[in-house]
Amino acid sequence: MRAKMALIIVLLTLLTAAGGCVFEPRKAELPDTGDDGTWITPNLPKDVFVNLITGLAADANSNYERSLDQNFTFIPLTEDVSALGSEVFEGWNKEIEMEMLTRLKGIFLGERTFQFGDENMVFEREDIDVGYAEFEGEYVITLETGDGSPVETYAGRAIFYLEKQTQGWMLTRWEDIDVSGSFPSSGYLRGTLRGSN
Amino acid sequence: MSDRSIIGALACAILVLLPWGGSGWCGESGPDAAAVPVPADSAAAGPDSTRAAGADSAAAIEALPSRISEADSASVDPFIPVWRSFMSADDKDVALGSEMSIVNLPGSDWIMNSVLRVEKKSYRGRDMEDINEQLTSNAVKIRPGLYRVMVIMGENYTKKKTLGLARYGKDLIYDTKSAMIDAAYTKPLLGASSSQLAFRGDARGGTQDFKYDKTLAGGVSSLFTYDFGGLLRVKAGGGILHKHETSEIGSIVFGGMPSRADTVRVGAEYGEEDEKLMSVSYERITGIDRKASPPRGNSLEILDNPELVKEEEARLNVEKLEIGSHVQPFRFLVVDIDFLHRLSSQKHKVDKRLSKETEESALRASTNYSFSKSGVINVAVSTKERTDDYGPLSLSSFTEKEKKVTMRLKQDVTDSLSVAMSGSAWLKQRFFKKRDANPRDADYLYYKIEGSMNASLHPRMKANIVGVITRNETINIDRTLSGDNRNDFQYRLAPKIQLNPTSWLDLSQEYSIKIEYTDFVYKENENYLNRTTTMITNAFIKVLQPLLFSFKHIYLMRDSGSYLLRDGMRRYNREGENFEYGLFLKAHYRYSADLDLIAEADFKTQENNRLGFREGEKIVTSSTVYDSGGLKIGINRKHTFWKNGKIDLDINYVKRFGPYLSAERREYWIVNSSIAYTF
Repeated sequence: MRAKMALIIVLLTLLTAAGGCVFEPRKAELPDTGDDGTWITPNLPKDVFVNLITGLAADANSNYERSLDQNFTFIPLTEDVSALGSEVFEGWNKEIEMEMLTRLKGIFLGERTFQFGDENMVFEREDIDVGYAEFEGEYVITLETGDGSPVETYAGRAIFYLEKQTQGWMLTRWEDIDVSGSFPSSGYLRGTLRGSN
Repeated sequence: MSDRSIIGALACAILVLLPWGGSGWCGESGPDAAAVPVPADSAAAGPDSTRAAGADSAAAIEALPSRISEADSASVDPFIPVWRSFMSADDKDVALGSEMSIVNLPGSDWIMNSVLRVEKKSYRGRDMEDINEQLTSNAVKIRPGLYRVMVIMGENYTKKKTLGLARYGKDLIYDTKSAMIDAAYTKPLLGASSSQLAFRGDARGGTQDFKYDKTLAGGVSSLFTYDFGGLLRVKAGGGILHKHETSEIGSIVFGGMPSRADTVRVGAEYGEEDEKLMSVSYERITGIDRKASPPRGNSLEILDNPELVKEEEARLNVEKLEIGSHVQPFRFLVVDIDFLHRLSSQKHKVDKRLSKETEESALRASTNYSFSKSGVINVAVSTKERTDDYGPLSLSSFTEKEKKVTMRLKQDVTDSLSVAMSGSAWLKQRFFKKRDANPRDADYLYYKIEGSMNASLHPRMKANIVGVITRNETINIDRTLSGDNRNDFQYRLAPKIQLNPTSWLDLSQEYSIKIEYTDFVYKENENYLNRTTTMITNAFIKVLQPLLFSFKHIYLMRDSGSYLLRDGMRRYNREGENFEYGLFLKAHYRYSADLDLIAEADFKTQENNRLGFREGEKIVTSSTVYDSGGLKIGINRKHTFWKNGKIDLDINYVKRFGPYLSAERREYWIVNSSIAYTF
């Protein structure tokens, strides 16, 4: 008797889930013709950086999101941990990175740019193995609020760790290793956007 | 007290006093320079000294040599100096260090421990090195059920030296001298079944990157527990912490910045120890933290422009209420319900981007139903609502609502066969408060169904199969972003078989077929599909008693392409294919109980083809092939000498090849070795 009850519960749950009627999301408006940034299939490691650049510039998040591995993590500089507190960076993962990106796009409504490596995307160190790659070098992020305020620039040196997954190359870890000039780093930007409570 | 104990006590005292005799043994003097400042964690000292002190005590005791912590202290040597030198290296860095620790048992249940540690790390391929010098002395005395006293003093010095241009040759220095005393009276008071009154005092000073800090902090806390009839327990406690900090940045002084934090905790539980029928707890933390902060991020500019430093003030207020119930009305049914409500706010005076108010409520109910002796089903429902408010000027404030249903079923069909199934549905909705200016409202709908079967087909043969289907839907509501709306599907089937035909051979083979498909709702020309097939073969062979050999082969085939509507039908157009082979070999030879020889080799090859059409036929338009691999040879040697000496050598030589490898990664050593002597 109990087994039958259990079976009924399972079947009801599965049927409900399969029918897509467990939860009812909102209806989306029909899209306009905005440019969301072209997606490049990441067959090569550096394709990931191109998609991150377009993912930051575009209003939509998909290029950025699809460039991050499920196990993505960010490692901040010691100085940023000191300034903002270790709890701000605790458990940094893909979900937190995407929340940070969404908030960033809500603050900086103007032009948003990324530069990885030099102007030609050449890094000081490039190690590419089968299925695994590391790039070490400069990065520069410029952000405009769109209200005439001065452009905010964040820069530093980082090691970018990439892996080839079933959907192509993806960024698994971003590790800030040094500052660049007197600019605040990406860790400071991330930390201030996440907040600490 | 024996002579050795007296010598030990003197040695400890000298180690403790050294850093306070002037500029400190680390060589960096204090407050002169523009260099500077405050312990990073100085602001983080919590108000609840009871908990913090408990953790520190445990850490201090855990750090003791095993012969102290494991043995009866009455029968061990009361004075134990241990010297240790160590080295580690890999493809990223090389570190060398030395450590001297002295454990002393002067009597009367006191345990004293002093550690002096120096480590230098150089980064391969980078003009950077870290130097860390650490001196810690602590003394602990615990009378269970009566009191606990702990004193910790020390200095921690860290210098990160960059020779590159990025820092213009400036070093990052943290140098903290600190002294802390923690005491707790643990004998039950006021009729409580257990209680604790604790005091904690803390003094510290030193260079913290761009500033020089001097901090005095003190706090008291209490915790009372009342037990009524073994079923009802009521707990109440609280603590206050005050801190005064002075920061010097060049000639500018921020004097006597006061901070405080107050905590109140109350709670009650009803039920047996392991079966709490009901529990309620409430916690409130309020505080103000003041410290000198650079205007935005990088502190380097502060070294030249100390006038840019601001006094930051952060006001914190957190309230948390938790209610939980656990009911087992029948032997086969368990129902759990948990509720959480949390309010928190953090308001910053200078960097207002850090200010935030959050309100969160969550409710979760779960049922465990044992429908047979070997079968159980679990159904859980949860709902959560959270509001993040970044202030009236921000466009980013939002409310997020979540609902989730999860079902799990597990059934042991026979002793050798079991099946499990699970399914979940999850809706997350985000509502922005200023949607007109920041139109990022979005819904996320996730579904997942998973099934698995484990079977022992024969005593020497096991099989396992897992199947997973997921569907993730992203729905941006506003028309400016809805072009990005998409459904991500994933189907995965992974059977695995394990064989153990003889005592010297283990074999396993696992297969995985994975199909990933993204379907853009309004941009069908971006739909794509990936198909991946993987086969992994493992063999573990015990050739001779001391010689083990393992073999692993990986084959991966992946193709990807578009999956577009043509003539009313979806057609798959392969645009690229990828083949990978990997071979990993490892031999492990145990020459003796304390000497192992290890050799590893790996080889990987990857072929990437871009596909296209020529004269109506699909062809490979371009192809690249990467080969990479390497060899690793190592020795692992453990050796004791002169009765109390110990050498631990783990040394490996690595040589790798590949088309795009830097010199640092082509040839390097992996070392993790140490030599230690207990006097």
